[in-house]
Amino acid sequence: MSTNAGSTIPTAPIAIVGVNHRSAPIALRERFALNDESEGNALRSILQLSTVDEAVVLSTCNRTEIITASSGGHDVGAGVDQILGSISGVGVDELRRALYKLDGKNAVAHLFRVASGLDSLVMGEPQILGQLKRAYERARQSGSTQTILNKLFHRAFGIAKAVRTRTAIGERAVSVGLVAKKLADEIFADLNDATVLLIGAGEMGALVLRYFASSGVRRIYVVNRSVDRAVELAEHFRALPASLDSLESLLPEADIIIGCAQAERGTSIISAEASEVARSRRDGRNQFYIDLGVPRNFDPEIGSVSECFLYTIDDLETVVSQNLDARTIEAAQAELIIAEGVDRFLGWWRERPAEEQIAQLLRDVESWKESEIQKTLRRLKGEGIDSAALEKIEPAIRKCSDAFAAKILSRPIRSVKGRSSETPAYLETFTELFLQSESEDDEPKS
Amino acid sequence: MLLHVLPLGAVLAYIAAAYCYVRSFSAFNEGDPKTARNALLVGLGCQLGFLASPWWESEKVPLPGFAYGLCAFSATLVLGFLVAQHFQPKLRFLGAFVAPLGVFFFLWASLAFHLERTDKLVGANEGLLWFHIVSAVVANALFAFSFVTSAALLFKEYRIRRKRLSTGGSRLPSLELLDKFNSRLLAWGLAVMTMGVGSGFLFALRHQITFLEFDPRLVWSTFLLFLYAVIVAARFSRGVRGRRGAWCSIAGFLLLVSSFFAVNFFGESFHVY
Repeated sequence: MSTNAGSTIPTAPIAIVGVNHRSAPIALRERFALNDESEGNALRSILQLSTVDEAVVLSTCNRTEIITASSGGHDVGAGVDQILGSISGVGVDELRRALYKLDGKNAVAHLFRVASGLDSLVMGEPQILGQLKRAYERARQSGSTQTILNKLFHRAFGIAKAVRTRTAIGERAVSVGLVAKKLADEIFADLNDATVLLIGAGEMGALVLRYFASSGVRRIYVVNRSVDRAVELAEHFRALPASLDSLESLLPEADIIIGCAQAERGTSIISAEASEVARSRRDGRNQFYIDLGVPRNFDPEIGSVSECFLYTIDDLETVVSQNLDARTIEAAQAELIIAEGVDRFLGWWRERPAEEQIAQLLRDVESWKESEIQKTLRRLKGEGIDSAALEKIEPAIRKCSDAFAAKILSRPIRSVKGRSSETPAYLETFTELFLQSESEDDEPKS
Repeated sequence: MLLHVLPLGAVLAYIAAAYCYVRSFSAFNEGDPKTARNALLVGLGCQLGFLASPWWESEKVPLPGFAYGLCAFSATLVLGFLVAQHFQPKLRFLGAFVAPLGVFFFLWASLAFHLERTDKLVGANEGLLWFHIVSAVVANALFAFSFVTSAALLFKEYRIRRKRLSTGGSRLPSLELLDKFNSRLLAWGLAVMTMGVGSGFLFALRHQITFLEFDPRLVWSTFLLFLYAVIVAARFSRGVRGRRGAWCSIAGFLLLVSSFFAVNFFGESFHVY
C-alpha cells in the first residue's frame, strides 16, 4: 500500500496519468486522442500491467487521462506512461514534458476537479461531466472497474452535482453567442415565437445565429448585399434569404436583429429613426439589436429608443469577461466542496480494512452464537425438558445471547472504526484479539 | 391574548419571508425560496386568523374600515402571490417585492387599528355589502400585484439597458412575461373593481344613499375605475406596454393608495369608520 511521505496513514491507491490543455499544445494532444477502438485496446494493455487492477480511459478534445487503481497499492499506475508513449508515438523527452502523473490524494482531488469542470479550458463547462460518465460506463461494462474506481467515480459525480447546485459556477454564459441568446431569454417570454433577422453573412453572425436557430426560433431572415451568400447561409439555417433593400419592410417584424455586415465608417445600416418607425408598428413589443459589426452596423441611439435594447460586440464581450470573473470567484467555493469530498473519500478508504474485519467478526460471532444455542438446546433436551417448554425457552436464550454479543462487541468495534484510520496498530491488535483463533477449527472452545 | 400573538406572528413571519426572498433573489444559493414561501404561509395564516378573530367574539364582523381593509388587502396580496407562484414558479422571485409590501401594509394597518371603532357590524346576511367589500379588497390586491410586477419590470429593464444584468435581474421572469402578467392583472383588477363599484352603487341605492351626495370615496372610486379603464384600453389597443405601461400601473396604484389614505383620514365619507 502506498503511503504519504513521513506518515503511517495509508492513502488511496489511485493514480492518474495523462495530458491536458495545460500540459500539451493541441498538436501534441491530438496524438494522444483515442477513439472507441483504440480506447478498448489501451484499456486491455493497461490492465495487463501488474501495477493496475482497475482502469478508466478518459479521452476528450482537451485531455487524455488514464485513471488507475490497485488494491495491492504499490507504485500504482507504473508503466501506463509507456503504454501512452507507444500509442501516441511521442518521443521519450517530449513525453516526459507533456505527461503528468498524480497519485493518492492529488489524483482523487484532480478527478473531482475534472468532473466539476474546474480543470476545463472554459471553467465550469458541463460537457466534461457527460464525457466522464460515458468513459466510466464503457470501463464498467468492459469489467475494468471494481470497488475502488466504482466508489471514486460515484463520489466524483456526486461532487460535480454538489458543485453545480451549491455554487453558480455554471450559471453564467461565457461565449458571445450564448450571452446573446441568454439576453434574448431575459427579454422575450419564448424564443419559439421570435423572429430573427441576420444582417450580413459574416462568420461571427452565423456563430451567434447558431444559438438562436438551435433554440427553435419561429422564423429567421438572412439579409445580405450579395443575395447568393444570403441564400447559402439561409439554406444552412433553414432561413429565408432576402436582399438588403427589403430591410425596411422586415424590420418591424423582427424581434432579434443581428448585425454583422461590413458597414462604412460613420454610417449605420439601421438608424435610430428607422428603428423608431419599426417600433411604432410593433404594438409595444420589444426589439433586441445585437451589433457584432466593426464599424458598428446600428446607430448607437437605438439603445435610447423605447422598447429597443442594443448590445454591441464590446458589451457582449464585457458580459463574457464579467461572467468568467464570477466563475473564478465561484471556483473558490467549489474547491471547498471538493476538499471536503476528497477527505470523505480518503476516510472511506482508510476505514475500509476495519469495515472488512468488523464484518468478518460479526459473521464469526453470529455463527458461534448459533452453534452455542443449538448445543444448549440439545443439552436441555437431554436433561428431559419437553419440546413445548424448549420452544418457550429458545427466544429467551436467543435474546440473551444477542444482547450479550452486542454489549461485548460494541466498544471494540467503535474504537477500531474511529481510530484505525489514523493508527493502523489498532486494527492489527483488533485482528489479533478477535479474528486470529489459536484453535484448529477456528472456533472458541465452549 | 390571541389577538396580540397573531399580528406579531404575522409580522415576524412576513419579515422572515421578505429577508429570505431578498437574499435568494440577490445572491445565488443564499436563502431558500421554499423557506421564504413557508414563512409567508405562516404569516398569512396568522393574518387570516387575526382577520377572522371578530367572528369568534360575535356572529358579526366589524364593517371594514381603514385598518381592517388594509389588513385584508395585505392578506389578499400575499395570498394572490402564493397562488400565482404555485402555478407559475418563474414568478417566485417576485416575492422579493411582494413580501416587503405585505409587511408594509400590515404594519400600517396595525398602527391604524387604534383609530378604528368596531361598533358598525356587518351581519352574515348582508350579501351585497359583503360582495362589495370582498371585490374591492380583491381588486385592490390585483392592482397591488400589478404594481409589484411593474416595479420588477422596470428594475429588470433598467438592468438590461445599463448592461448590468447580474444574478438578481436574471432571477426575474423575462420582460415580456412580466408585461403579459401585468396586462392580465390589470384586466382582472378592472373587472373585479367594476363589480365592486357596481355592487356598492346598488347597496347605496337600496339604502337610499345617492351618488349626488358626493361621498369622496365614491367619487374617487369612480375616478379610479375610469383611470384603470383608460390604462387597460391603452395597453390593449394603443400598445402602451413595457416601460410606459409599467409606469401607468404604478401611477394608478399610487393614486389608489393615496385616495385610500386621504379619504380615511381627511374625508367625510360613508367609508370612514
